[in-house]
Amino acid sequence: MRRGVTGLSERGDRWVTESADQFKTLVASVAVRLVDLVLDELDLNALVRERVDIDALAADLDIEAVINRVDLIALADRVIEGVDLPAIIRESTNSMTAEVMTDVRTQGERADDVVSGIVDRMLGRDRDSR
Amino acid sequence: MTSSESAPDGERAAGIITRGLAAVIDLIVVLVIMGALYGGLVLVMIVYSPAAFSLPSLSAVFSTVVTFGVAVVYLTGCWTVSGSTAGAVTMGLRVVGRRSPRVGLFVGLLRAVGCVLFPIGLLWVVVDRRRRSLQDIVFRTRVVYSRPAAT
Repeated sequence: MRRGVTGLSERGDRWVTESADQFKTLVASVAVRLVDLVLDELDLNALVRERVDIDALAADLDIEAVINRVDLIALADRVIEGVDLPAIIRESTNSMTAEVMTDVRTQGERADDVVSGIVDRMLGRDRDSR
Repeated sequence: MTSSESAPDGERAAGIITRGLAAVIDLIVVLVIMGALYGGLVLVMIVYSPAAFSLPSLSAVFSTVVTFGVAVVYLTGCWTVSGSTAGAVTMGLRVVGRRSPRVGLFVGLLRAVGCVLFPIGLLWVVVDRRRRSLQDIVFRTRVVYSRPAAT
């Protein structure tokens, strides 16, 4: 009789333990799906904008500590590597030189025409009939 | 633009301002070449007789003759090879023959001598209807605005 009670008790314990694990798994999966559903319905960005004072958070940030952890020189090197600086300088210099040269030539040509016009008037020449 | 300033091929003859500025630039180029030659002479003297070195004092006649020679060679070379000296390139000018886009070696040489010996002939550009200098009239050359080729 006592042996039967003990066996029954052990079986009950095992059942409770197994059932508890299954129940936990079930609750966890339901909770996860529930949270997912809730999150799908919510616009978290809008919520954060409405409810969170981002400026206050940003003001509390220790920017110095972040900067100190970053190797700025290496970062600058990577940025400069990514940007073809010599090509940019070369292109801008070339285009600037070309513009200056074109400008000088155009101005010179106009000055030639002005001088010709003055001389034509002084000599009484009719430019159109020449 | 007037018809007399335009050649039959549509190229406009250059006026006194652009040609005068080009001449000034060419004069500077010749002076720089002369300076380089003088510097080279000094270096050669230092290399061969460093103990007895003193800055060479060149006679005025010698300097004038060398300057004349350098200017003539420079102008002739530029005109016959490309039609443009450094000054002409800067101001967008080109020296062309009467019917050809290039000046021949002989004509270029004579024109260079004429320009170096009688630079005042350039002023005739002001009064000439076709904007020719005295050298242009004598050697039948023209100085036109060079336009970059259309792309």
